[in-house]
Amino acid sequence: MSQKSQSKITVFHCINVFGDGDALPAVASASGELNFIKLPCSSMVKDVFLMRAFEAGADAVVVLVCAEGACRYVEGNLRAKKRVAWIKALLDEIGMDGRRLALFNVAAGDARSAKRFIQEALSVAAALGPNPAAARSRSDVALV
Amino acid sequence: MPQKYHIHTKTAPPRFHPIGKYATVEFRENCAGSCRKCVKKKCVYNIFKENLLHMSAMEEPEYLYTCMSCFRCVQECTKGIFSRTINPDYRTLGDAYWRAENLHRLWYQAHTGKIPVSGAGYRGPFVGTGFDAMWTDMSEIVRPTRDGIHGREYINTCFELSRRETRLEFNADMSLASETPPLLELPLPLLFRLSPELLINDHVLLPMARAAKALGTLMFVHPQDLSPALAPYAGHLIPCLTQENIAQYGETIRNSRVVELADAPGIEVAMNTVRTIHPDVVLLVGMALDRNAPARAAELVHSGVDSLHFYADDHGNELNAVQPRFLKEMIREVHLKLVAQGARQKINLVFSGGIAMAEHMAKAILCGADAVTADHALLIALECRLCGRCSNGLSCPVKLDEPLDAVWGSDRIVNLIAAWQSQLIELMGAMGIREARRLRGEVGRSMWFENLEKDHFGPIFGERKVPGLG
Repeated sequence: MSQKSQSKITVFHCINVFGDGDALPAVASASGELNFIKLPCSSMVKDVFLMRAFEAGADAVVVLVCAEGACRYVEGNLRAKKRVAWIKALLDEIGMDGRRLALFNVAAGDARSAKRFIQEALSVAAALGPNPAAARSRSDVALV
Repeated sequence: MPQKYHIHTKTAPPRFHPIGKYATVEFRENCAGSCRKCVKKKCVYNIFKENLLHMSAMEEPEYLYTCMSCFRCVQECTKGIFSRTINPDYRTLGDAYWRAENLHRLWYQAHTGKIPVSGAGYRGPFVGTGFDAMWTDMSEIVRPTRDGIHGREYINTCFELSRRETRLEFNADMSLASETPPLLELPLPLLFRLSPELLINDHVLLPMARAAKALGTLMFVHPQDLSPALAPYAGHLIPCLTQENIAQYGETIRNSRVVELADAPGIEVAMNTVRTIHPDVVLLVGMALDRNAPARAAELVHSGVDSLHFYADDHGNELNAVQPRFLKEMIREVHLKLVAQGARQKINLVFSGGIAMAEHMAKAILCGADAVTADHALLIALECRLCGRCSNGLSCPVKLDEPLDAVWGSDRIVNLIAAWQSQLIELMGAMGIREARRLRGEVGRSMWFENLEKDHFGPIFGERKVPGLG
């Protein structure tokens, strides 16, 4: 069986963190495959999105939210934090390791910090190995 | 009574969830739960259910929304958990020319075959760049009983792709002495072309060729893209050849009604070779729409070519220029050059690039074109999001790089063109013009921002120092 050469990271971010004109944090393609998903507010990061990201093969999921007190919808980032905490617990419970999911507060347009957080997630994903759910679904496909 | 040209439309829903303009932000934790007045259940567009179904079906997580922005949920939720916002993906859809609202309208037209209605009046700016700096004269719209919607079926949108003899000669017995060239008339001043910048494969070519046949129009295609699957549509394809590959595609020339040759020195010899292979073929010469185009058109007009095809870039700008002019100025220049030579009636002019809306087709004809081509718009009808991933060798988010139902694709393109034709007829009806050929070069039936500004403000403020709207 061929081993996956690089980690796949799905990044959910609030549009107010990286807007239309802002450059998304660039991470060398050799380090990992990044999939950015824009949200109108980080509070829209529903459980189904996070779980679907893992189901689609992401080795780690990063949620970038506004700095505390800077949310345009007042408490959207706090709600995102609660949901991420709940999904982390769920991941631990099903044996997928909650460390695969992380939430970070980023100031608007601060691509440098975001890049650091994504690289951090990449190293965690590398340490934890490939997403077992993705490996499982691959073997299911092979059986079919 | 001759049969009227009518385009039959059939609703063709999108395969993928479209990127909506509006979205709602929802603080779900504040929801009362099983509320009897739940606005999600009351949504007249059933948006919440559709979004939920999409979420359960999506392969990769994607945030797409189709809120219609009626504000009902925002106003009526007893807990006030909703806020309306612009969908972030919508904000980055398309580019400066192919704007998100254009893509949205094209998707709608491809889906329904109907003219989009923007709703509560026109809220945009009254002038913009390019074709938006040009208004058409709609004065006849005040007489709807005479010229309006009831006269639609008598409006002719045909144009000719074949050359015309301007002078006929007769024998003593009044029989025709002059040799008349073959006549090729198309029902719409619109041809199809594949965007060279975007995806070209059999999966998208087949529905386009099918739609071209259904509409009675033609599609430009490079010979290397021709496949056996396209053989039934050969009569509706225009192979774009060069002097070097004519001999290689002799069979293709024999099977085609129209052939395009790329402009190059010695093109007359190549044209003769093509006419030797197929004497009745209609010949086009394709060239870049750059500063040399008007002069080159004036040279070629007497060479026996049927039509000239000018290629601008995908934003409708002049090629090979530091400060490119827009399509409308370029069309004027080529058209007027031929008018000045007294040769405009001999030849037809087709322009490619930047035709993004139905009104662009009408405005290009008003500037002096005989016909235009639809390129990006055809792919957009097939749900293309102009994300540019295909140009970088990446997978297509709406799977145009995989086999698709050619009937469905063809229906979408036919719907789009039906909506464009309806708008052209609406516009011509409002102008009191019943022939698309009569519309050609009729700039007197349009107003141009630059001219109006000069006429009204020129005497007060003098000449504009900086061109454009800035």
